[in-house]
Amino acid sequence: MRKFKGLLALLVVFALMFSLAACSTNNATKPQDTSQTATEIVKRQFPLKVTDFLGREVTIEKEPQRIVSLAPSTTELIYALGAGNKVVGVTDFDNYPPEVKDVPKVGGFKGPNVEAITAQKPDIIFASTLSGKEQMESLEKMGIPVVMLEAKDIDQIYQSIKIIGQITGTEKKGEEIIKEMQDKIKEINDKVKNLPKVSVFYLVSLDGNWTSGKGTFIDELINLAGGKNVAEDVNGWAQYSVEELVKKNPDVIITSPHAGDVKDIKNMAGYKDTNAVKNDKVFVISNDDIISRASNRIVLGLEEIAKFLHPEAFK
Amino acid sequence: MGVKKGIYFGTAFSLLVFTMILSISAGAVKIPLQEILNVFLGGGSETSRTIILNLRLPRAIESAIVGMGLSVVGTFFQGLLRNPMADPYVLGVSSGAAFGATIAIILGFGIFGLSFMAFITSLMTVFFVYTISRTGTRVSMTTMLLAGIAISAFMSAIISLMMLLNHDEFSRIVFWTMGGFSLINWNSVVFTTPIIVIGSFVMYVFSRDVNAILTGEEVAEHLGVNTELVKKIILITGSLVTATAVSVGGIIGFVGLIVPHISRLIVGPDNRILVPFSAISGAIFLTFADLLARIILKPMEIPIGIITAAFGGPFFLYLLIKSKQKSEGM
Repeated sequence: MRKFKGLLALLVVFALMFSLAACSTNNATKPQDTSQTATEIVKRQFPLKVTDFLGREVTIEKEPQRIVSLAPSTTELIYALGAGNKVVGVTDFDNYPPEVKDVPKVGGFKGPNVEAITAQKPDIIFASTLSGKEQMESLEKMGIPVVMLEAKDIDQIYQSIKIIGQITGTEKKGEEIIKEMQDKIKEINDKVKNLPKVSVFYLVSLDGNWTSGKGTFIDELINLAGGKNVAEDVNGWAQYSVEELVKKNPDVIITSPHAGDVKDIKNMAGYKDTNAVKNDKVFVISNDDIISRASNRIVLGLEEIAKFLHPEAFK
Repeated sequence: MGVKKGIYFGTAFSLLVFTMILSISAGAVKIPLQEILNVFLGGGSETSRTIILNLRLPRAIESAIVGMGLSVVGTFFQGLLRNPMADPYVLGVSSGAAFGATIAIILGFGIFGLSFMAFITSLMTVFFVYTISRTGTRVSMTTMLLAGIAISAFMSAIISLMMLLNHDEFSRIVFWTMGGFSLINWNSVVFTTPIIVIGSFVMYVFSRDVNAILTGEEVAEHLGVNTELVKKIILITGSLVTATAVSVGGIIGFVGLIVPHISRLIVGPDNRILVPFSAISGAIFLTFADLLARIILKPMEIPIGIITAAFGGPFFLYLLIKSKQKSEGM
């Protein structure tokens, strides 16, 4: 039986690939027909099997009408894909797009509330690593499919978009969003790639001198924006040595509105002696969500950082 | 006996000097000894000068001073409260400071405002605990201890609630409470050193009186000790010292709890000897802990509380087992 299921899944995947290919060729010749074709395909593909970020195969029996999203980034993507009207539960951290204010909250900083999630009768739950393994397992036992999305870089954001698109029947919109993101990234990267690399320190929080090292979106954005993260010698979020900062002597320091007072940063021992402070190149990002969330808005963060690093290229 | 204590003090003092030198010469950035000497002779590159004179030196001094203060307060509080688990934070100083720091962070205060706020709220908390434990002129130590625990729990709950309602500042609040000296500068050294040193000295002056109180308050009264006055002075000064330490280093657990015990195992319970020995041991312990926090995972730093607990705990257990074996052997 299991073997048969696997075979079936494989067939479905193949069928899907062919139909997508067919769809995209149609796309080029007869643009009017595509939307209709797309919805037809979507209706045909349930029960649908998707592989989530944990490598698990999740079976979705019918097209989801009620979605619970347990990550602000996923919520943003669902709305961007045009499936926001199906969202019936989000976390306390969700704040974008503004409409999510009216969506019931099902979880806070101590993990999601299983009761509140079940009360929303979701057809599907999009989870993240912060969602709590035990809670997710208990929800799966109740027969609610849980799809784990956890993009760590921009390529994986595309993957999240594809998975959500497949489940909500919005693949086409997903392709558009991915294309827009890729175009924007290319446009910015083209402007800065031949300019000299600017060394950058990103300050997450002045208390404890926290920074974002390798493997974070911020590190990736700095590189794409024509910079070099001086803290790339640490992994992830880390308390960084001020001594090392003095030695690396960054040209630019970027912080967030929650990192601490810019005046304090400029007066801090060690910071005072960096080129960034001496040349008055300490910048505050307008919103830390656009540089840390795995959503399509990350290109806005990239643009902002690129303008900090290479204002001459954006005149 | 006097010679033995002399050796203990001599060793401890040399160890302190050695730890300070080590703390100034080692760090995330490797600076050759020759260059360090150059810096102290007025030369050296700009980078080395900044690192040695503006980062490492104030940090080494601050960690020594804070370690000293917390250990002295711990020594007195354990005696006065007759509780081996008492530490400088037992009266609610730490939760009071965290409460103030949380408010300051939410209101968007800068570093100075934050320290000041933490300082003030921790003193207010202790004053509150003290006031409710007082009946007439007498202060009940048991009531103080219980009130301290209750107010700490209450404050922590309020802090959690404030964090819940202000996700955006969540990380800054967490980072602050983990403690550490990563952003110590000369200003903080200049502000804290006099308070902690003078405060510790004031407490030390009453060592003999506290010795007497330890044998029993009635005995002490017979010996002419004004026990209520001594208790008040120690509690107020100790809280002031702790609040000062917390305002610059955050909450650094374990030092004020463990160093007095270790010192007691080495030099015995007489406060006249125990207090100065605790002071030096605390300075060594925290300076060394800060050095480890800086270099173990360089260029990353780890919160100093992790070091003090991870290294202090097992060492303390080792000493306990050893002293137990010794007393069984006799």
